[in-house]
Amino acid sequence: MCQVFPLDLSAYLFYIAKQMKRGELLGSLEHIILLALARLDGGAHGMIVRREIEERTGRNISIGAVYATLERLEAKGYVSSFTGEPTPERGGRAKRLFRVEAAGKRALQVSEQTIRSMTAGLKNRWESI
Amino acid sequence: MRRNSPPAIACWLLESVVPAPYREAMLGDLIEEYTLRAESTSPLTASRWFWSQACRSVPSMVRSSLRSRDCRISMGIAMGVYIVMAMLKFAADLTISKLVAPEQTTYVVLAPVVFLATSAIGGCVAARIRRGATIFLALIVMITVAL
Repeated sequence: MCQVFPLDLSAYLFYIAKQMKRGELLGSLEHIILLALARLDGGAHGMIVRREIEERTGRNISIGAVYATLERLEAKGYVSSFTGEPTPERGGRAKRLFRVEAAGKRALQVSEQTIRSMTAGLKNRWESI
Repeated sequence: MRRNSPPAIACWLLESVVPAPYREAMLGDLIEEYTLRAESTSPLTASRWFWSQACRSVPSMVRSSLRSRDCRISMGIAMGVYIVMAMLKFAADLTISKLVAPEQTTYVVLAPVVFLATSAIGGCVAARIRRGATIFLALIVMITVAL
Protein backbone atom coordinates (compact mmCIF):
# COMPACT_ATOMS: atom_id res chain seq x y z
CA MET A 1 0.00 0.00 0.00
CA CYS A 2 2.75 2.42 1.03
CA GLN A 3 4.73 1.59 -2.08
CA VAL A 4 1.94 2.86 -4.28
CA PHE A 5 0.94 5.81 -2.09
CA PRO A 6 3.91 6.68 0.03
CA LEU A 7 2.69 10.18 0.87
CA ASP A 8 -0.79 10.09 2.25
CA LEU A 9 -3.03 7.37 3.58
CA SER A 10 -6.14 9.51 3.14
CA ALA A 11 -5.26 10.03 -0.53
CA TYR A 12 -5.00 6.27 -0.90
CA LEU A 13 -8.36 5.71 0.81
CA PHE A 14 -9.94 8.43 -1.34
CA TYR A 15 -8.53 6.68 -4.41
CA ILE A 16 -9.97 3.33 -3.24
CA ALA A 17 -13.36 4.96 -2.53
CA LYS A 18 -13.41 6.34 -6.07
CA GLN A 19 -12.47 2.96 -7.48
CA MET A 20 -15.23 1.14 -5.58
CA LYS A 21 -18.31 0.38 -7.61
CA ARG A 22 -21.61 1.65 -6.26
CA GLY A 23 -22.59 -1.80 -4.98
CA GLU A 24 -19.37 -2.08 -3.03
CA LEU A 25 -20.05 0.92 -0.83
CA LEU A 26 -21.31 0.00 2.62
CA GLY A 27 -24.94 0.49 3.54
CA SER A 28 -25.70 1.78 7.04
CA LEU A 29 -26.60 -1.65 8.46
CA GLU A 30 -23.64 -3.24 6.68
CA HIS A 31 -21.40 -0.60 8.24
CA ILE A 32 -22.80 -1.16 11.75
CA ILE A 33 -22.59 -4.96 11.48
CA LEU A 34 -19.01 -4.84 10.17
CA LEU A 35 -18.08 -2.55 13.06
CA ALA A 36 -19.76 -4.90 15.55
CA LEU A 37 -17.84 -7.84 14.09
CA ALA A 38 -14.61 -5.87 14.24
CA ARG A 39 -15.29 -5.16 17.93
CA LEU A 40 -16.05 -8.85 18.62
CA ASP A 41 -12.63 -9.88 17.43
CA GLY A 42 -12.05 -13.52 16.43
CA GLY A 43 -15.49 -14.56 15.22
CA ALA A 44 -19.03 -14.06 16.47
CA HIS A 45 -22.41 -15.53 15.63
CA GLY A 46 -25.47 -13.59 14.55
CA MET A 47 -27.13 -13.26 17.96
CA ILE A 48 -23.94 -11.90 19.57
CA VAL A 49 -23.69 -9.32 16.77
CA ARG A 50 -27.36 -8.36 17.30
CA ARG A 51 -26.79 -8.02 21.06
CA GLU A 52 -23.64 -5.92 20.59
CA ILE A 53 -25.52 -3.53 18.29
CA GLU A 54 -28.46 -3.30 20.70
CA GLU A 55 -26.20 -2.61 23.68
CA ARG A 56 -24.16 0.04 21.90
CA THR A 57 -26.74 1.81 19.77
CA GLY A 58 -30.10 0.90 21.34
CA ARG A 59 -31.30 -0.34 17.94
CA ASN A 60 -33.40 -3.46 18.31
CA ILE A 61 -32.80 -5.08 14.94
CA SER A 62 -34.16 -8.48 14.01
CA ILE A 63 -31.94 -11.53 13.75
CA GLY A 64 -33.21 -11.95 10.18
CA ALA A 65 -31.86 -8.53 9.20
CA VAL A 66 -28.51 -9.41 10.80
CA TYR A 67 -28.21 -12.69 8.89
CA ALA A 68 -29.41 -11.18 5.60
CA THR A 69 -26.74 -8.46 5.95
CA LEU A 70 -24.05 -10.96 6.96
CA GLU A 71 -24.93 -13.04 3.89
CA ARG A 72 -24.53 -9.95 1.68
CA LEU A 73 -21.21 -9.05 3.33
CA GLU A 74 -19.97 -12.60 2.84
CA ALA A 75 -20.91 -12.48 -0.85
CA LYS A 76 -18.89 -9.27 -1.17
CA GLY A 77 -15.92 -10.95 0.51
CA TYR A 78 -15.94 -8.58 3.49
CA VAL A 79 -16.58 -11.34 6.02
CA SER A 80 -16.02 -15.07 6.11
CA SER A 81 -17.84 -17.70 8.13
CA PHE A 82 -17.15 -21.09 9.60
CA THR A 83 -19.38 -23.61 11.32
CA GLY A 84 -18.97 -24.35 15.02
CA GLU A 85 -20.01 -27.38 17.03
CA PRO A 86 -23.72 -28.13 17.59
CA THR A 87 -24.78 -27.75 21.24
CA PRO A 88 -27.85 -29.07 23.16
CA GLU A 89 -28.94 -25.56 24.26
CA ARG A 90 -29.25 -24.64 20.57
CA GLY A 91 -31.48 -27.66 19.91
CA GLY A 92 -28.54 -29.54 18.40
CA ARG A 93 -27.93 -26.83 15.83
CA ALA A 94 -24.44 -25.65 14.92
CA LYS A 95 -23.26 -22.07 15.28
CA ARG A 96 -22.07 -20.10 12.29
CA LEU A 97 -19.25 -17.80 13.30
CA PHE A 98 -18.34 -14.74 11.24
CA ARG A 99 -15.16 -12.72 11.13
CA VAL A 100 -14.04 -9.63 9.23
CA GLU A 101 -11.69 -10.20 6.30
CA ALA A 102 -9.02 -7.83 4.98
CA ALA A 103 -11.43 -6.49 2.32
CA GLY A 104 -13.96 -5.75 5.07
CA LYS A 105 -11.37 -3.86 7.11
CA ARG A 106 -10.49 -1.85 4.01
CA ALA A 107 -14.17 -1.08 3.36
CA LEU A 108 -14.50 0.10 6.95
CA GLN A 109 -11.50 2.38 6.57
CA VAL A 110 -12.92 3.83 3.37
CA SER A 111 -16.32 4.43 4.98
CA GLU A 112 -14.67 6.02 7.99
CA GLN A 113 -12.65 8.31 5.73
CA THR A 114 -15.71 9.16 3.61
CA ILE A 115 -17.74 10.10 6.70
CA ARG A 116 -14.83 12.12 8.08
CA SER A 117 -14.47 13.99 4.79
CA MET A 118 -18.19 14.67 4.53
CA THR A 119 -18.56 15.87 8.11
CA ALA A 120 -15.42 18.04 8.05
CA GLY A 121 -16.36 21.65 8.79
CA LEU A 122 -19.96 20.84 9.69
CA LYS A 123 -19.39 20.97 13.43
CA ASN A 124 -19.27 24.79 13.45
CA ARG A 125 -22.51 24.97 11.46
CA TRP A 126 -24.32 22.55 13.79
CA GLU A 127 -23.16 24.52 16.82
CA SER A 128 -24.55 27.74 15.35
CA ILE A 129 -28.02 26.19 14.83
CA MET B 1 -45.79 -26.57 24.06
CA ARG B 2 -43.15 -28.03 26.36
CA ARG B 3 -41.67 -25.86 29.08
CA ASN B 4 -38.72 -23.84 27.74
CA SER B 5 -39.28 -24.94 24.16
CA PRO B 6 -39.76 -22.17 21.59
CA PRO B 7 -43.12 -21.72 19.80
CA ALA B 8 -43.37 -24.51 17.22
CA ILE B 9 -45.34 -22.44 14.68
CA ALA B 10 -42.79 -19.62 14.77
CA CYS B 11 -40.01 -22.19 14.27
CA TRP B 12 -41.88 -23.69 11.32
CA LEU B 13 -42.40 -20.22 9.83
CA LEU B 14 -38.69 -19.49 10.02
CA GLU B 15 -37.73 -22.90 8.68
CA SER B 16 -39.92 -22.19 5.65
CA VAL B 17 -38.47 -18.80 4.78
CA VAL B 18 -34.83 -18.77 5.92
CA PRO B 19 -32.42 -19.71 3.09
CA ALA B 20 -30.74 -23.08 3.64
CA PRO B 21 -27.16 -21.86 4.27
CA TYR B 22 -28.23 -19.86 7.36
CA ARG B 23 -31.29 -21.83 8.52
CA GLU B 24 -29.56 -23.96 11.13
CA ALA B 25 -27.39 -21.15 12.47
CA MET B 26 -30.20 -18.60 12.76
CA LEU B 27 -32.68 -20.99 14.38
CA GLY B 28 -29.96 -22.21 16.74
CA ASP B 29 -29.21 -18.61 17.76
CA LEU B 30 -32.88 -17.90 18.39
CA ILE B 31 -33.41 -21.10 20.39
CA GLU B 32 -30.32 -20.42 22.51
CA GLU B 33 -31.44 -16.86 23.24
CA TYR B 34 -34.99 -18.05 23.91
CA THR B 35 -33.72 -20.56 26.52
CA LEU B 36 -31.68 -17.85 28.25
CA ARG B 37 -34.63 -15.44 28.28
CA ALA B 38 -37.07 -18.12 29.48
CA GLU B 39 -34.79 -18.83 32.43
CA SER B 40 -34.06 -15.20 33.30
CA THR B 41 -37.60 -13.83 32.77
CA SER B 42 -40.53 -16.14 32.02
CA PRO B 43 -41.40 -18.56 29.20
CA LEU B 44 -44.27 -16.28 28.16
CA THR B 45 -42.01 -13.21 27.82
CA ALA B 46 -39.44 -15.34 25.97
CA SER B 47 -42.14 -16.67 23.63
CA ARG B 48 -43.33 -13.15 22.93
CA TRP B 49 -39.74 -12.13 22.12
CA PHE B 50 -39.31 -15.20 19.89
CA TRP B 51 -42.49 -14.42 17.94
CA SER B 52 -41.46 -10.79 17.51
CA GLN B 53 -38.06 -11.85 16.17
CA ALA B 54 -39.62 -14.44 13.85
CA CYS B 55 -42.19 -12.02 12.40
CA ARG B 56 -39.70 -9.19 11.98
CA SER B 57 -37.20 -11.53 10.33
CA VAL B 58 -39.59 -12.81 7.66
CA PRO B 59 -39.36 -9.78 5.26
CA SER B 60 -35.53 -9.77 5.32
CA MET B 61 -35.41 -13.51 4.78
CA VAL B 62 -37.94 -13.46 1.93
CA ARG B 63 -35.93 -10.68 0.21
CA SER B 64 -32.75 -12.66 0.77
CA SER B 65 -34.33 -15.84 -0.65
CA LEU B 66 -35.60 -14.00 -3.72
CA ARG B 67 -32.11 -12.66 -4.43
CA SER B 68 -30.50 -16.09 -4.17
CA ARG B 69 -29.54 -18.17 -7.20
CA ASP B 70 -31.58 -21.13 -5.91
CA CYS B 71 -34.71 -19.03 -6.02
CA ARG B 72 -34.10 -17.87 -9.57
CA ILE B 73 -33.55 -21.49 -10.67
CA SER B 74 -36.81 -22.54 -8.97
CA MET B 75 -38.66 -19.68 -10.67
CA GLY B 76 -37.22 -20.71 -14.06
CA ILE B 77 -38.28 -24.33 -13.54
CA ALA B 78 -41.78 -23.23 -12.48
CA MET B 79 -42.10 -21.06 -15.61
CA GLY B 80 -40.91 -23.92 -17.84
CA VAL B 81 -43.32 -26.41 -16.27
CA TYR B 82 -46.15 -23.86 -16.54
CA ILE B 83 -45.51 -23.38 -20.28
CA VAL B 84 -45.57 -27.18 -20.82
CA MET B 85 -48.75 -27.38 -18.71
CA ALA B 86 -50.42 -24.64 -20.79
CA MET B 87 -49.51 -26.46 -24.02
CA LEU B 88 -50.88 -29.75 -22.66
CA LYS B 89 -54.10 -28.05 -21.57
CA PHE B 90 -54.46 -26.37 -24.96
CA ALA B 91 -54.00 -29.71 -26.73
CA ALA B 92 -56.48 -31.44 -24.40
CA ASP B 93 -59.05 -28.64 -24.83
CA LEU B 94 -58.68 -28.86 -28.61
CA THR B 95 -59.22 -32.63 -28.58
CA ILE B 96 -62.27 -32.36 -26.29
CA SER B 97 -63.83 -29.60 -28.40
CA LYS B 98 -63.53 -31.85 -31.46
CA LEU B 99 -65.24 -34.73 -29.66
CA VAL B 100 -67.86 -32.80 -27.66
CA ALA B 101 -69.71 -29.59 -28.53
CA PRO B 102 -68.72 -26.68 -26.23
CA GLU B 103 -72.32 -26.03 -25.13
CA GLN B 104 -72.78 -29.61 -23.86
CA THR B 105 -72.69 -30.44 -20.12
CA THR B 106 -69.90 -32.97 -20.71
CA TYR B 107 -67.65 -30.18 -22.00
CA VAL B 108 -68.50 -27.93 -19.02
CA VAL B 109 -67.53 -30.76 -16.67
CA LEU B 110 -64.46 -31.89 -18.63
CA ALA B 111 -62.80 -28.43 -18.95
CA PRO B 112 -62.17 -27.92 -15.20
CA VAL B 113 -61.17 -31.58 -14.86
CA VAL B 114 -58.52 -31.08 -17.56
CA PHE B 115 -57.33 -27.92 -15.82
CA LEU B 116 -57.05 -29.69 -12.43
CA ALA B 117 -55.36 -32.72 -13.99
CA THR B 118 -52.73 -30.65 -15.83
CA SER B 119 -52.13 -28.58 -12.67
CA ALA B 120 -51.64 -31.74 -10.61
CA ILE B 121 -49.29 -33.28 -13.19
CA GLY B 122 -47.38 -29.99 -13.44
CA GLY B 123 -47.09 -29.81 -9.63
CA CYS B 124 -45.76 -33.37 -9.44
CA VAL B 125 -43.23 -32.75 -12.23
CA ALA B 126 -42.05 -29.46 -10.65
CA ALA B 127 -41.69 -31.18 -7.25
CA ARG B 128 -39.68 -33.99 -8.85
CA ILE B 129 -37.31 -31.51 -10.49
CA ARG B 130 -37.03 -29.11 -7.55
CA ARG B 131 -39.13 -28.88 -4.40
CA GLY B 132 -38.99 -25.09 -4.22
CA ALA B 133 -40.39 -24.75 -7.75
CA THR B 134 -43.80 -26.04 -6.63
CA ILE B 135 -44.49 -22.88 -4.60
CA PHE B 136 -43.74 -20.65 -7.60
CA LEU B 137 -45.82 -22.87 -9.88
CA ALA B 138 -48.75 -22.65 -7.45
CA LEU B 139 -48.36 -18.85 -7.40
CA ILE B 140 -48.34 -18.65 -11.22
CA VAL B 141 -51.44 -20.88 -11.45
CA MET B 142 -53.25 -18.80 -8.80
CA ILE B 143 -52.41 -15.53 -10.61
CA THR B 144 -53.61 -17.04 -13.92
CA VAL B 145 -56.90 -18.17 -12.35
CA ALA B 146 -57.39 -14.76 -10.69
CA LEU B 147 -56.80 -12.95 -14.00
